[in-house]
Formats: sequence, C-alpha cells, structure tokens
Amino acid sequence: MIDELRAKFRGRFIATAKGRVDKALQHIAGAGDAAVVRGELHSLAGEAAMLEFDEIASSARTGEQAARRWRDHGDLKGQEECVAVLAVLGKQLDELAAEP
Amino acid sequence: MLSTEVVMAERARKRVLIVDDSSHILELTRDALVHAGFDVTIAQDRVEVERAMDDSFDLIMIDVLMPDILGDQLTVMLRNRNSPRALIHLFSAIPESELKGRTLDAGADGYFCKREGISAFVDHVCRTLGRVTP
Repeated sequence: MIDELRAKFRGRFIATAKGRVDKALQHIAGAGDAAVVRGELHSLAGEAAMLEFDEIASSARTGEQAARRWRDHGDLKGQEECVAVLAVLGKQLDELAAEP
Repeated sequence: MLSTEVVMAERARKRVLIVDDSSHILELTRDALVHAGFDVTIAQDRVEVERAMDDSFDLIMIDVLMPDILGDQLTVMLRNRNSPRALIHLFSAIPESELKGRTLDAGADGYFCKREGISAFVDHVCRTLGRVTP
C-alpha cells in the first residue's frame, strides 16, 4: 500500500515541499520570523515522515530544531544552520524528483 | 476465523475523524484508512471540526501544532462536551516525549508519532479500534 500512496502523493509532496523551502529561505533573507521558518520545517518533517521519506524528514527535523533555538534564544547559529539544512533539503528534493 | 468480507464489514462501522492543517496529511491518511475499510471524515481547522461533530466517531486523531488551535486545546474542548465519548489520540511530528506529555496533560487516550509513517499509522488505528491489520 505504501508504494501506491507514495506514487500518488509524490509529485504533490515535492512541489509543496519545495514551496516550503523557498518560503523559509525568503523569510531568512528578509530578516523574517523564525517561527514561520520553524512552522514550514515542522510541516515538511511531518509530511515527509508520513510518506516514509525518512532522510528528508530527518533533515527537516534538524532544521526545525535549529529554528526553535533561533526563535527561543535569538541564536544566530541556529539561523545559519537553518540555511544549511534548507540547502540540503533542496538537493534531496531534487534527487527525489529525478527518481523514476 | 473471520473472512475478509466480515473484517471489512466490521471496519465499515468504525468511524474515524482526522484533524490536521496539512491537506497532504489529511488526504494521505484518509486514503490509507479508507483502503483499510474505515469510514473516514477529515477536518482542516476548528470550524470544520465543529461541523463534523454533528456526527459521532469511534476515534478522533488530532494533529498538535495547527495555526488556529493546538491539538491539546481541541482535545479539552471536545472532552468538555456531552456528546458520546470518542477515543481521542494526538498525532504529531514533535518529539515523542513532548507528545506524550501533551497527551497526558490534555486527557487524550493515546498518541501516534508521525515519524513512524503511514503504514504504522494504519496499524495504530486498527489496534486502537480492535481490528486486524489489513
């Protein structure tokens, strides 16, 4: 069943996930709200996990934790880590999109 | 031993409400549970939950971090009603320790970690409602 569900939802998941990554990057570039970045990464982590895209889910959770530190403690290292994780996520999503 | 037809008929009588702000999660979980033979309703926000509560459910699965209301707050709100008591489980991608704490504090009946994936989600619902996993 999981293969059928993944096939059905994969394209939409990738499109939405890329939108979440772009939105998070825009917020960081514009000195935006850390809570928004955390929210996008949290949603992405949940959606990826439920579809059992485990590596993407793991990256998103790492980014979410960094965004939480940035939000709660003003930790700019957390912001830098978010940028790095978002770059990894972009690459992982491109790789997933390239799979047959 | 129950035949497949009997198992599916039993499940058809079990009603599940899924509450999540993500349309992906709602459609994915609905498709998976309908495939497993359950009667499923989905709600994306508090207004849709209010509308859905005209019906009764055996199990309500509620996401935790939603924009208009937290899942634990929604649990307390539903528990304070006089409607027939449905089982309420929280589900989320937050760390399990936090999810467990929120479940206990809200008085929910159980929880499911999204990181376990959709196959485990179906197993969880089947076990909760006393049904055989498909």
